[in-house]
Amino acid sequence: MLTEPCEETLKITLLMGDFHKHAGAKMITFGDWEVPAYYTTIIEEHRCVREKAGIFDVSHMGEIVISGSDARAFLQYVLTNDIDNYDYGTAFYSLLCNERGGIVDDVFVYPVTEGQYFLIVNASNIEKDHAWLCAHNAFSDAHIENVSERRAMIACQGPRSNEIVSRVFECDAQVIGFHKFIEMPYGGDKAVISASGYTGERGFEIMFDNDLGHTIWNALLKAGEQYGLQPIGFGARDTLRIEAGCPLYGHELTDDISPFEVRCGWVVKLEKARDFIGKDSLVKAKDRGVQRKLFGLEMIERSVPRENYEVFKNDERVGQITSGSYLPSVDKNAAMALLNATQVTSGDTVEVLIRSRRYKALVTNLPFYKAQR
Amino acid sequence: MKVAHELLYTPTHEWIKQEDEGIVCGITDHAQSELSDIVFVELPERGKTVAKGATLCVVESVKAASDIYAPISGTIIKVNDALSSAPETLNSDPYGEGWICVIEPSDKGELKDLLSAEQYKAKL
Repeated sequence: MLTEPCEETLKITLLMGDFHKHAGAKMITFGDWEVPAYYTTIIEEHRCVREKAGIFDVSHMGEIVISGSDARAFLQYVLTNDIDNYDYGTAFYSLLCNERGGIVDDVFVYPVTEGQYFLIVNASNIEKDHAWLCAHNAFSDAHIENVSERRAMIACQGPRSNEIVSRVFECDAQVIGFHKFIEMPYGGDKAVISASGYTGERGFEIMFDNDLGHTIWNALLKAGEQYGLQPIGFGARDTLRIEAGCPLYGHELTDDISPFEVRCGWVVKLEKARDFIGKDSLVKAKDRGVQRKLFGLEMIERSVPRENYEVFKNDERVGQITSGSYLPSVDKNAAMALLNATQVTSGDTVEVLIRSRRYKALVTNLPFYKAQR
Repeated sequence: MKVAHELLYTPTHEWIKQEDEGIVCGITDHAQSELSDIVFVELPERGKTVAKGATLCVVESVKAASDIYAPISGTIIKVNDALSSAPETLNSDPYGEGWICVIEPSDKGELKDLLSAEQYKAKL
């Protein structure tokens, strides 16, 4: 059964905790956090995001501000992606890699204006990333501030999110291009609205100071009522991102996994002008080619594939599952799996060891689901 | 949460019903509600013997796999195969069409350890 939260040790942001419990959410623990697993059911919430729209309290995510005249040079040094490829007002995905070319974290970078940037980082990595950044900052005018505790974030995702965000912020959200972000006044303060997300659908991530949390949440709920908007828990957040083939730190990404193994090579810019942490190892890794690769698995024999289950081909172990579930929109039991790329290829039939029995599965490419655009 | 009056219960949220052919068992309304969307049932094997409290079968919700425990010792003589293609029946009708299997008890004395509807309700 689901893990019951153990209250005294858990962190709760302004938006979380009692607020969601009162909305009838089933609460679970997620790392150090107590979060809503679902309000109605995971399948219903998942479909609601694909067909209409949903809002997610993702305030557990971390925010780290990088500022100063050396901020850009510092970011070029710690990020694998090339900041020079992006304009101010365009967010981009990147990795922080270690010297061995493993992944410290995957982050979203927001270039606000000259000398002003912020990173959205995984909740479980906030302290690690902050310490990592500070330890590698040899620049005299690059300042690193962890503002996670006073910042909150709500994601509004789904085909109807354009109308809902437009209503709440009195703007035309439809025209905000993919990964563009703008700052909008709200309630005497301001919020950053970014056309991004983690569900494979059109959607927005809205970032603001904690004080605005309840107001924005309630305004989105109210504006979304006529479009069928529902609050969405972490259960559906997970099934949505697996279906969309989005990697999650701690599952598809770790300190010991190379970006080239997990479809993240596109954010490793080996050709960028400045040197960056991990470059030497990443150059070698790219030359060597990958031994293992992230694939999709779709169960042929009915059963549910889960994280850490082992995968076999002709009785030989060829890898393991990194994330798996029943996926509601494609109506399949499916998984992402890190498999030996020399033994396995897309179209192969393999076997997944589930409890004491092996079940047949088809190796596929990712993602399982693509939104109609 | 519905607790059917005529059934007996375990503290681990299984129910049983005594019928002529044997002991019919399933999971309670509380259990299905806690599990939420059930998407797969790894059914028990016909002919297998189970000990009271041992794993009888596994039920998978979207989120996790959960063990279901044998409410009584005995031999599994009948299995609800319809659950293979329609596992969601466990959510919609846990005390009826969502029955899991029939056990021929090896020791009917174990029945006295089970909870009445009133006792089970008090534990929820």
